[in-house]
Amino acid sequence: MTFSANADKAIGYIAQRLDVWIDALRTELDEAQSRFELGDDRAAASFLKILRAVLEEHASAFGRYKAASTAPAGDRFRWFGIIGLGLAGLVYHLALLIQKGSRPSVFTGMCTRRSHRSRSVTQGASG
Amino acid sequence: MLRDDRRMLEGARDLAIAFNIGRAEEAIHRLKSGVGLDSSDLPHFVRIADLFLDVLEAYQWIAQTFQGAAGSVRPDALRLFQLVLPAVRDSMSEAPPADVFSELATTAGSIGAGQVVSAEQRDRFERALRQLASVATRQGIDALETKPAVASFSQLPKLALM
Repeated sequence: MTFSANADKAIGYIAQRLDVWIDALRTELDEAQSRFELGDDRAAASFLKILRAVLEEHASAFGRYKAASTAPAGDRFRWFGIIGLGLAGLVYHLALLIQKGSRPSVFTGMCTRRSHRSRSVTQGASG
Repeated sequence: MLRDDRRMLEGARDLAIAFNIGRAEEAIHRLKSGVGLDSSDLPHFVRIADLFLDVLEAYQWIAQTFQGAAGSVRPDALRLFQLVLPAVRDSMSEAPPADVFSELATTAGSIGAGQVVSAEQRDRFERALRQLASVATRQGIDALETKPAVASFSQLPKLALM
């Protein structure tokens, strides 16, 4: 197999995993938002809406990077890497928001502290 | 604001900078392929142009400080200067720093506005973006890792690929 074919295969594999991660994170954010809305924690729910909007920005960019099939493999790897780190950042903020006993942050400090629990976000992130 | 909170905000901003750069790079690739930009590309170039203008402001303040005539500068601009400096260090040997930052801001604005820039100018811009994205992602992750939320943060991208 040529380098190009190998690179395409690797890119396809990474894209597939990022797809799964985006879907999982979308579900995770929606579920968390529903829970906070049910608990009448509007500040937390609003913050989750922001995270959701950022996720959609990443999903939109990811769609473009997937479509850029003529771009050099190195560039596509880097762009996917940026998306991956962006998603990791979202997971971080989500986890901080829902983690019981976490210190109020600049974001979560705006929210009422509650004892919401969620299934592990890393489970969702790992697809 | 607590120190960790500030670090977290800085980390989020660094990752946002990297995100804008990724979008800009992909847009430039489309441009080079003969496909025009669309309206959704413009904000990314505007943000990148603003970033380099902030860096220019910080650089000018530093230069004035050495001459004993400094006014004031926003702390954010100084931090962006620290972020951008490693990414453009190579270009500094070719031109004065102020010219480098100014050209990068102008190039971002021009490409975003659909104006033609020279191939050399675009190459310098792309090189700076690549290096800046690398610095921004590394610093963004480092900042968020200051206070791990669930596990070792550096594990998360690996988990996604499991």
